[in-house]
Amino acid sequence: MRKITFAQALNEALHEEMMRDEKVFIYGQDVAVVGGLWKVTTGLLDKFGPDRVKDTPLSEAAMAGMAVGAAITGTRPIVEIMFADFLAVCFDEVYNKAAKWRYVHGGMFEVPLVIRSSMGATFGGSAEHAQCNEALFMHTPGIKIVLPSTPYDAKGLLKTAIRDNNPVLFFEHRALYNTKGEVPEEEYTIPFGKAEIKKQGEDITVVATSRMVSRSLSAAEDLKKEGINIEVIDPKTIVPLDIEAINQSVKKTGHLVIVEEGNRTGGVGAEITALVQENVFDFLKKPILRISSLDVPIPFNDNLKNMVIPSTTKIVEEIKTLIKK
Amino acid sequence: MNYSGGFLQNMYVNLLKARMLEEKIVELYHQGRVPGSVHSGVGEEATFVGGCLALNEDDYMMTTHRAVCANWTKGIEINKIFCDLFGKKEGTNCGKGAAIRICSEKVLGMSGTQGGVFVIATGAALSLKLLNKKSVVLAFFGDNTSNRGTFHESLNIASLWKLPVIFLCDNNQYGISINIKDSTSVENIADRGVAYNIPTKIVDGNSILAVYEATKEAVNHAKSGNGPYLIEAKTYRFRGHMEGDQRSYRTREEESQWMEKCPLRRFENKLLEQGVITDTWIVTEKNKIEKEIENAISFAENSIDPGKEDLFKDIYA
Repeated sequence: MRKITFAQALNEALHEEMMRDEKVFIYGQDVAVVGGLWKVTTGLLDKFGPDRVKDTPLSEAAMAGMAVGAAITGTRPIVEIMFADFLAVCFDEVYNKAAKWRYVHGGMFEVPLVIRSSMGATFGGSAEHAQCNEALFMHTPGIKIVLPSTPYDAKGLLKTAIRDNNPVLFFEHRALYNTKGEVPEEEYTIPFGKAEIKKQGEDITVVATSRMVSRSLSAAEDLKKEGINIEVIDPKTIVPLDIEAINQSVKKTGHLVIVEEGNRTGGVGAEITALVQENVFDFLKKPILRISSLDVPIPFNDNLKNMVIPSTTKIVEEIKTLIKK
Repeated sequence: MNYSGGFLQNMYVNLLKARMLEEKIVELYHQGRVPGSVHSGVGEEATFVGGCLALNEDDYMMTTHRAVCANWTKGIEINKIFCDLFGKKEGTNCGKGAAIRICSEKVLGMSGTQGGVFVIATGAALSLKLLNKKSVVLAFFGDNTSNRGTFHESLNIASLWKLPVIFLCDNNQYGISINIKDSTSVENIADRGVAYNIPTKIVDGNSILAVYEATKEAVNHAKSGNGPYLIEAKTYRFRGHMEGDQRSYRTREEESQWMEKCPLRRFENKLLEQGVITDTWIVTEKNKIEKEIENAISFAENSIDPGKEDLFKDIYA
């Protein structure tokens, strides 16, 4: 099968969905003429024209809020918020408007919008250009949250997001944009709320999201040499969350580790931990382990940053320690 | 402009309905029959009714927390309005959004955080433009709300992209307790239009014809593809920010000066002078409206509350 990058896969999804449905349009800072800082929107302006592919001023609150206004009146906007950190600038529009507009108006409106945002600690980024803040929104009923980890998933999930009649936050890890993977030429979509076992194993269940999926898979190879066979589960969407798949795996292994790039307190791992102990407590042989970024603003210096973000080595060491306990 | 007697009578009836509705809501609140706060729009009805009457049926509107009456003018059934006021299942929002979030396909609802209206209305206008619809969005907002960043972001984009949206400021002089002089760096909200290259007009918000005519002009401007328009209607909030507010921040003299300019009485006197309406006709109309309102209250008070089956409904589509 052909291999393309994560960014190319997203770009294909946008081309295909905009071709399929003329109510779909996209705007954001620098998305039109230069095709986006992350090159995800390349070629859209030429193909679909300036009415459907628009560069916006630096106005995140308007960008996110306008998507709600457009969505409730019959179009299907896609907004690119350049950095997930900048979602803080339009938090009201995401948290109070997008998430709640349908409910507080008694179901009068559908709110079919997608906010795409890049995230993650990568080269040169620091506190306000590096965060994985999906947990902030997981706390908010009314939004769906997507965290693709491969080019294949990125494409299929983005197509599903665009077709969904609800607000969807779609987080793209910047370190993944140039990673390559197999993506078929044929049309496909990937359902929300269905986890995938990325690697089978019997000893420990590892739930990982976004970039942490590949790091967990690398860790799995190292751990195999030590005789530890982990199972890596990628939920793909944390809202809706396929908790049943996680429960089933924990029933088999008796151990749960959650690996996320967001920081620890009140994180995605904390929520999954709570759910699993509620659901399958009796199957757990040891305490649930959370491997996450540390509770500090992400520093610029690489030496410091590497202490904050979970590395493959750290995942391996922590799992080994858990087993020895 | 010359208007037919029928047109003026209809305009008067809408204004009278708005006043009687706003007053009735206050009355119900003080009888303990409203399960929430009431932010009365008494005194500001000409701004809301005049604006709404300038719209066609296929135009969109977003009101503020100040004016439940605008929803009636824009065609929402009075039974549903009272159901929403009481949080009943048969309202437009199933008891989930209160009277501030009365909605329909054309009444796009309300943002609980002030300033949300600008971005939603601008986005709706973008949608209409993309869909090639010949409709406009009329967004009411208060004077102090123009100090939110969303006002500035939205006016800039609406102007840049020539979107069919009309921003109509209900300048009632107060944001809760703060007089506009103490909250706002310009004398007129309309002065801010120039910064975004948007045409503006300041009108007497207590003159229903003045608001109507300015809004009509703005609608024509927007429908001709010329983009947004900013109207400032200068009016006055007769009552406190919410019922129970003792209005310690202003004088009774100031209030009575404004009450002299009551939008309903002014329009009524004018039409009586012109012989368009008579005292007997007014009494008949008032009785009709009173009955309509009482029937709606009775309907709403006797209708059911939303239940367990509604609690998790409509979080997602």
